[in-house]
Amino acid sequence: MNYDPAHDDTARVDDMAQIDADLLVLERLQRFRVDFAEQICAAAKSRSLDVLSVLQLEAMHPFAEFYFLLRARGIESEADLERLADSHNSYIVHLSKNREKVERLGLKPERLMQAIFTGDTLPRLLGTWREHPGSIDQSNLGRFLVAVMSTETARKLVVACSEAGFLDRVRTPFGTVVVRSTGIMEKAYGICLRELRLGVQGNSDGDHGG
Amino acid sequence: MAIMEDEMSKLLKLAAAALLVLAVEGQARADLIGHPDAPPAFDAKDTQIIERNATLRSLKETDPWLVRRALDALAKAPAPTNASQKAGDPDPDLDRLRTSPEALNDLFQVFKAASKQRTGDKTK
Repeated sequence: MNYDPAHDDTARVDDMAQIDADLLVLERLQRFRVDFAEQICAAAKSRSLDVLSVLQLEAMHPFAEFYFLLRARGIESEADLERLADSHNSYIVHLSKNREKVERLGLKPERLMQAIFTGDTLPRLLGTWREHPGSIDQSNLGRFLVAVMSTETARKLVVACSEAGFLDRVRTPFGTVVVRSTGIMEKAYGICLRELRLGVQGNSDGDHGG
Repeated sequence: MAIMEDEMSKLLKLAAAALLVLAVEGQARADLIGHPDAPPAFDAKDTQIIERNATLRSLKETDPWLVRRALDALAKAPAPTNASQKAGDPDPDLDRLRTSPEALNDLFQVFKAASKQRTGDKTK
């Protein structure tokens, strides 16, 4: 292909427009994370620095996203939750066969096996949900989040979120801890996500300028 | 040869800096705006953590404030567990600040699969 200065200039302009558009998405993505952290801290009932600092942990993002997905994916009935548990179990079995990925995620095979919903743990998961829709035993919540965060991080988030008024946390007579979302964090997550989408769409329909 | 080694050293430093920026992302991004003129203070506990982590050691002289922010973020992070600390890890403490986008995407796919099954069941 022969060098054509005019063609090269056009290509460069096109690239710059593409880069502008890419930067816009990046900016919106960063804004999304900042907005979510701000909203979640503003909505917290507790003003304790300990609680607020846990709410700003990176892990708060996937934690809120889990609750957002429960709602957004319509996980409402016991049957819906059972399907989610089945899908989770398939994922764990599939993941356990990929040793390289298991190591990359910093997981131990035993911990992965413990995250499977078995004949013992599945009935408790479904029973808790049946009795109090939306409620999940804390250890079962940890099973769903096994690849995303450590059990200790999940526990810290549960405690901080209940202090903040985002989760109702009840200790059962059987010694287990059951948690149910009050809807605040997934609502904040949804609002910020909507802002992100509209911000990107709005600008891609119009100009790309920053 | 010396030039190549120098270039390699620069590349390694850059990679280390990128790793650290990723590590503190989220917890301390807001704090990264602005660098005070005076060098940050590191107490005995900070020094121990810096010595344990290769990335922090390599950045202590060139970017002490970045190291300070990382230490502050570590102080807020949950306590380390045995499972999260791997033998021979060059950055055993920084690992606690990381979350895996891969795992988060997997979680999204688990929900998506459950949702598809639900739609499939309804259309049967």
